[in-house]
Amino acid sequence: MIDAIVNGLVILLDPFRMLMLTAGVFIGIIVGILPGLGGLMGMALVLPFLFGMDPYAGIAMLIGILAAVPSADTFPSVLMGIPGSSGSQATVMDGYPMAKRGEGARALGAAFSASLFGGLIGAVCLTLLVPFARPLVLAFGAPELFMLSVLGLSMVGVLSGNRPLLGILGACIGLVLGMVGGAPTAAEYRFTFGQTYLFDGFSLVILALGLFALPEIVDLLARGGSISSKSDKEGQMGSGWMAGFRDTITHKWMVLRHSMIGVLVGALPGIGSSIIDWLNYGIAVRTSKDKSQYGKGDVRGVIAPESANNAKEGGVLMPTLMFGVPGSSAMALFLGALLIFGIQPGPELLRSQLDVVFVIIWSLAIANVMGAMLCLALSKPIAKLTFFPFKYVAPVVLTIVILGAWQETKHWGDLLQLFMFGLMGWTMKRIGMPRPPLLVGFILATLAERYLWMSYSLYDWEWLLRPGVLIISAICFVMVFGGTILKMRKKKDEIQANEGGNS
Amino acid sequence: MSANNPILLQQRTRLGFTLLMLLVFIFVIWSAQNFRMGADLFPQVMGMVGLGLCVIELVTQWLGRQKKSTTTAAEVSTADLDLTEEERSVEGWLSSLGVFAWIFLYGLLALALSMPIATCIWVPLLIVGRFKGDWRIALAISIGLLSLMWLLRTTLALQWPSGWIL
Repeated sequence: MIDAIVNGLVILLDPFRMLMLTAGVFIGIIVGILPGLGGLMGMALVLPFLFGMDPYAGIAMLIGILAAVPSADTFPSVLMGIPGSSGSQATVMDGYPMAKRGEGARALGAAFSASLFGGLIGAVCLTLLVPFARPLVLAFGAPELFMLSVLGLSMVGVLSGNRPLLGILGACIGLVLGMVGGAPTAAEYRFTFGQTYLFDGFSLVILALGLFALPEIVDLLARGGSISSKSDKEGQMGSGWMAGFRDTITHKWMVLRHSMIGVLVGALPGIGSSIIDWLNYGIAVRTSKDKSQYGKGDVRGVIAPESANNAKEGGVLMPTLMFGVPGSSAMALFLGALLIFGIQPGPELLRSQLDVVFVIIWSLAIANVMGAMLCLALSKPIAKLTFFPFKYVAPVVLTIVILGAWQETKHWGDLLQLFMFGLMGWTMKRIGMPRPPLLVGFILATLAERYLWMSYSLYDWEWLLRPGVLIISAICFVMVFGGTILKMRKKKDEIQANEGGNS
Repeated sequence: MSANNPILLQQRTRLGFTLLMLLVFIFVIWSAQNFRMGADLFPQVMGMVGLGLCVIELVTQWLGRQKKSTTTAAEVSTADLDLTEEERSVEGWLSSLGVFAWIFLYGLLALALSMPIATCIWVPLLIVGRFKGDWRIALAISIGLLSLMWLLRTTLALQWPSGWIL
């Protein structure tokens, strides 16, 4: 195996392959910065040019795109409160408030350094887990995947803060919105009103842009001034990114923990990468002693989802390479590219073409370093945008948001959807109804319904007693009630201590 | 009185939103009865849960008013972005709705006249007409955006609304 690791690096260090990797990283950064576009778009763009190319160079380019997007999509999330892609939604929650108080560069520094370490941990995990990936992935059947959806939904409680009722109601609205279109359990189109446009359901990208981007653009324009409430001198533009880097080092265990979670959840085909950042954000909030600053600009709220977001790429590659089962839509395209090059993913790949696997892993690691470094270099000048009068920034941002939304189906319904969800997000913000639970509900609607139906069809109700289901149920219970139980126990101890002191 | 009171305005909007969601959940449950087996279970269950939550929310709001609650948005602590004092004011609401109308206009222009033409018309109108900004900057931004669109089309093959009229 050591030979294959070294051989993989030697193959990749060929100048042309490194050039292609760098080109991929650049494309990934451009696609990531533009809200609404993601890795899938970048890979689809270069795919036609891969025919006839050296396979290793083509693979390096695709992995470069894949690794750079989760880093670059942080720019719009932090600086404008607009999710750069579906994997950076949770970063908005704390990154954007940091930018508003003049700490945009610090938030970006923390995000990119966390992304860098997360990406590297993802690559290391992929290397180490190659021999064990098969039993890990196969241990998760439909019941366990359903319970993982429930675990994601249990995060709604954390995201709702002191408004649990409104939060759960928001999640229900998200679940209902997620039901629009073809049912995953039967040949039925639901709530489409005969419109073919709705057969595929609502788009996650447009929903995220509508819920978060439009209300922020509208409110900032209405308020006047710039995104940051402080001037450039008052803020920490100059040394901010170093402070962010130090934040990441201070919270190194958090980076490690959330990267591992990112890899493990990413390795499960069918869970979808969109939920990973919310799951990690929820876990970070739930497990922190001081939760008071989350949602107001806590750097931990940036570090946790960002490290997981980059680490997941290592996880998502596992089922793709081990079984030929794509872990995400971008991976489906990557799988297609491998087939173009005559590489057949699956157990045979691990036996006879291990060097290809390690070229992929090395590409992932190097592209992560390149992407994070480039983003760090860009963070200072781009963060200055937060000090410009927003009336000049808004038309640019809005045009990009509309262009991003239009790429979904290129139908006028995309713009209508964007506007309707924008109005909905604005209203929710005004009435104090948390928006993240709606997004979590929407993402998990199809998954939860599909896996619940599959579990029932395959195992009747006996699936409830499977060991994996019981373990994840216990984790859900701890996540939902753990904090409350601890608080009650602490209160009881205090009362007992007081009584002891009095007597 | 309510026209100048942001708390009342927020409460009434919340009431309106909850009632709208109540109707949506009733529609979901009603529609689900006609779905095929397998496709009907999830909408029915989620519809009922949502309906129940809406009823509880309405009761909570009603009880809050009975107690003459003075709950303000400042007490809200969720994993979502906070509103500033200015945004909470009635003027803030109206101003935001005005901006929404501008965005809607941009969308309509893009669909009717194509994205590049809409950008050339809307950007100067917004910057100079609405926000009294510098016309030279507005012109520069319009040209910059047209260049960006051209670049995105040639490099990333992005498309945009081509216009119903033109």
